[in-house]
Amino acid sequence: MQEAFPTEVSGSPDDLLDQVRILLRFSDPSTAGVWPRAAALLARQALESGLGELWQRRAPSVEHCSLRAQLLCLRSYIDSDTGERAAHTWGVLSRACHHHPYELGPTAGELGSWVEDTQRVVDACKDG
Amino acid sequence: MIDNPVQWMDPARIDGLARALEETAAERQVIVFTHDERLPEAVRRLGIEANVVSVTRRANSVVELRESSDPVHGYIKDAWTLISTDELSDDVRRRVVPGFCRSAIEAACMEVVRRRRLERGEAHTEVEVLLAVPGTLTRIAALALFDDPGRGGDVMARLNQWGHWAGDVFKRCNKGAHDAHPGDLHKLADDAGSLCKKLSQLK
Repeated sequence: MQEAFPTEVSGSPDDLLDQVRILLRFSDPSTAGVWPRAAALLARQALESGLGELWQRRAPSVEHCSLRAQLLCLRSYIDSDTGERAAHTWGVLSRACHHHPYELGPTAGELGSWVEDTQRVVDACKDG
Repeated sequence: MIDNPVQWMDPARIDGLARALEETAAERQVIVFTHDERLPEAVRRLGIEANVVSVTRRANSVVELRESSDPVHGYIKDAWTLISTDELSDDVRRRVVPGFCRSAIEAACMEVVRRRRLERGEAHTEVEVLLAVPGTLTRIAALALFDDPGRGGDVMARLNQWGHWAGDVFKRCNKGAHDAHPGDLHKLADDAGSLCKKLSQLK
């Protein structure tokens, strides 16, 4: 059964990642060809939003720093594994969001594994 | 039928390949498979007539074919497709449309830089190295507007010479790639298209 996009999305990191999973799993003709970039954009926003929620709770001033600074701070506030995972995932998702004329875009498999890495970072931020 | 002809090719020779394919296509149908945009880019820049089709493979090996134009046009078209796709929630639309508009502006800037420098006689490899340096949208805009990546501070003032809509859409697309765009998406896509047109007219 074709899963429909929900009409209301909260914008929470978990909701955004669920949206990406739907995009990746179902071949909706309305998203033909645009889904890789759309998925990367949503997944990156989920990651940034997860970080934002952590900073709001633990260190509000960090939320206004650059993403690079936030990713560095993550190592101290959670642990270095999560920091590295977040930095790598944010890097590959960002690459997929930008225009690169001479490169293959990510495959559905690659995007899927980046989504799960993002979920792990988001979950770690929730517990942090 | 030719599979991946460009992969190990010296970029300076890609224009020559495009011309050779054009000659062959006068008498025969030529089909080229490639994942490298340099050949379609050369074909467009040299004004060679060709149909370009993009192929994406989704989960469960579902293959999608789409007619492909230049990247700028493609991203703007995708933005409009997303705006008019009822199946997407409004929040998702607001979160992804700016990213496509941003990519259009990015691609437009890169095309200006590439065309300008290649016409000036710079080597293909050098131009590609310059464009491959990771950087902000402001940096690539500075390259397009001033031929100088260091003049990021002057970008907004220069864009606003075309009207405040230009600086505004640039800022909103940059921000919107990271967040849900709160304003009118139709206006955003419209203005992004107009900005790309202005950029494409730069010498």
